[in-house]
Amino acid sequence: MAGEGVTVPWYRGISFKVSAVIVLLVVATVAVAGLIFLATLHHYTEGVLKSRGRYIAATLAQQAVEPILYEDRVALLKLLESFQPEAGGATDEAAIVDYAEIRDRDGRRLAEAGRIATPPPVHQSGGEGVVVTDAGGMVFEVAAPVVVKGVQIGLVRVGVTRALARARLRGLVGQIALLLACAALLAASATVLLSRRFIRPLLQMIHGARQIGAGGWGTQIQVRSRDETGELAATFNEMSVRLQEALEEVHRTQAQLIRSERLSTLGSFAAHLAHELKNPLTSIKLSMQAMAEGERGCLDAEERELILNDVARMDEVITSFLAYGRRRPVAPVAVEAAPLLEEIGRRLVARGRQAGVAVELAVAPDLGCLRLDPERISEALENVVTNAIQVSDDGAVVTVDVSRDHRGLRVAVADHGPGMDAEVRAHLFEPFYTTRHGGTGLGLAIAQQGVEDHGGRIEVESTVGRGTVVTIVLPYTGEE
Amino acid sequence: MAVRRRWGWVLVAAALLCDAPVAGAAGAERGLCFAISAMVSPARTFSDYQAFMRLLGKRLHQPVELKQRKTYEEVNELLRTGNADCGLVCTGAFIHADRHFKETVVAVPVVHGEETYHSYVIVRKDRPYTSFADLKGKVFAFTDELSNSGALYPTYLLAKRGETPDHYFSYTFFTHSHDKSVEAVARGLADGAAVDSLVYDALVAAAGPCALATRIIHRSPPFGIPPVVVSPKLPPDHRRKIARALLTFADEPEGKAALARLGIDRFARPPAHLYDSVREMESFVDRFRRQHHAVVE
Repeated sequence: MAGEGVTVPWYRGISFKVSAVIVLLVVATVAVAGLIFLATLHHYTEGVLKSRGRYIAATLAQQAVEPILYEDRVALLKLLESFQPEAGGATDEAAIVDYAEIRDRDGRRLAEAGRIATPPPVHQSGGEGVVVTDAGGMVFEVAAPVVVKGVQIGLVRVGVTRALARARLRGLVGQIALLLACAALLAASATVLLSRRFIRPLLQMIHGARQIGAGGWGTQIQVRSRDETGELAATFNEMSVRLQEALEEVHRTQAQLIRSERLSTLGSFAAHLAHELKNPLTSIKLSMQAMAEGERGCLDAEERELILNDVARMDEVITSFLAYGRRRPVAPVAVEAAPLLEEIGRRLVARGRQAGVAVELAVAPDLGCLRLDPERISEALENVVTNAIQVSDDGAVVTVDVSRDHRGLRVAVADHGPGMDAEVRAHLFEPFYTTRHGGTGLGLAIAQQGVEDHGGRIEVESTVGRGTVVTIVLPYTGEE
Repeated sequence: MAVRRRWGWVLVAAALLCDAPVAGAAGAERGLCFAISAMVSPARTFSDYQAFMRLLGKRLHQPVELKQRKTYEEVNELLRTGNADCGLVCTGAFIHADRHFKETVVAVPVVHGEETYHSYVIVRKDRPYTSFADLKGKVFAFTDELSNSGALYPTYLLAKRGETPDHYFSYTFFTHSHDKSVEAVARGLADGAAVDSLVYDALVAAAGPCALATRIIHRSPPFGIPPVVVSPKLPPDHRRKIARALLTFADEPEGKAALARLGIDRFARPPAHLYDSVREMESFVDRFRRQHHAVVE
């Protein structure tokens, strides 16, 4: 049962459940059978006792004829004593006789023997034959008339005790209890052994499933049985092989997809780059053609400035594409958050000022220390703030609020621009997606990459006509 | 219904009917005690005597109780002490008692017109014995020590030959009733036995299997039939009342029917010298025993 996965407690195992059910069934069956047996035996014993009591009384009545007619009390006493254990009578018969007495036809006691000093009142049989009087106690009485040719000359009364029969029944109860315990023990042992044998293939399958879970694709289990468990094991083995084949197909398909995705991305990247570079190149080309055709001997100052702007534009485009295309891995270092962000903020304030937008920076004092790549974070934050500046009108205010909460370092950049609808928000971080003429659509994509490479996230709240708040959350993963 | 032959050995004293009840010798608080030493099984005796006892009580205006004892000696003792008022005793027991205390015969039964009976010596049918002499060295069953037909007569036969039972037979024992002696022979317990002719004839008439398995090899001369006697303790007037009751018992159909169950025709006064032959046999045996004892000592 040992394995790397979750181990089922013994009391929840099939072996225990099956054993418990069978033991309960066996115990219940043996107990019911024992009770029925005891009840039947009790009934039978009662019948035998009554029958033997009648026989003893009738025998005594028959044998008492001569002694009664001879008035031989000694013979009567000896006759009674022959049915008493103390007198060495026949063991079985004597053991059930508690007392006995013989009376004459007038009710006078002629002889008595027994254990009870004051036997119950005389039962007059009236010559009706053997009469059993049973009050349900330990002793019942059998009375038999002593009759000669239809004339009653006396009466024999025998008290028959149930003590011996009940003692034997008690002994049987003990033996049945022992049998019950033995049966339960045997049933438990047998069912544990059998059930373990039956569930062994299941255990092997569990082990195999765990191996598959741990990466052992194609694991096969060996089950020799030809029953349902054998069929299940064969199905399991087949499933394992199919899983391995399916996984290999997935890997192949994934590799192809990645390759296709890369090609597609590369195509898209190249198309966007070409598109961004085409306009300035066209402008420069027209200026250079005019000069070459001799319309003008040289370029005037305005034309030169236009060409320089186009070149600057191309440089900006190429720089952005390189920044996105050649993503550098994060090289985290431990830095104090507040000084780093204040430094970045100062650059952003200057950039805003150039654009006619007031960038207001608020850095909380207790930000602590965290591990990050300053260059990547600076790049991400600058892109977010630049985007806010670009959508703001002249004289507008962009606030950068740096604080700390339970999730980590929190930088909220809020503008009062036109805001975004849901459609725009859904594509906001996609590469090359932009709503601004002349924009590359890479700024926020690069920002998201930088933040997510640090294990952080970017959240956007925007209302059309009221502005947007972009919040960068960075976790404190290093020493503070 | 066939006429059932009953025990012809029954003897009862007789008395005339009288109005006053007979006070028992033991006192007026109990009824009359009639003692019998059962010559057949006591249960059969009890059953057969029920009607007779009831009718006798009616005649005497008092209940009559039947007392049975195993041996003749015990019956004699009941009569001697007055614990029984009257009784039917074996001839041998009567002769024995008559020598020690006075038992009065009040009536004798008449069976088949006779007041006598015999002693039979019987053997099993498949045995080769033809005479009493053939039983020498064999096993012999006596009925009772005081029985005339069952003990005195065969002892007398041996005494006349100068033999005693202990010497003549290889082994002897007492059965205490004639039917048991018949059964002992039939079952092979004894090679021979001496029994009452009245009992044996009745058993044969009733086709008793044991009786039919035996045969008679010797028949004695007639002896006085067992009588009905009264206790010496019983007052004379009571004796007369009992005698009257018995002698008139068969005068009415009811009494005749009760006696018929016992195989008795009627009761009669005892003839003179009825028991002389038995007395002579007993004297002879007694003398022989004394002489034999003297010789042995």
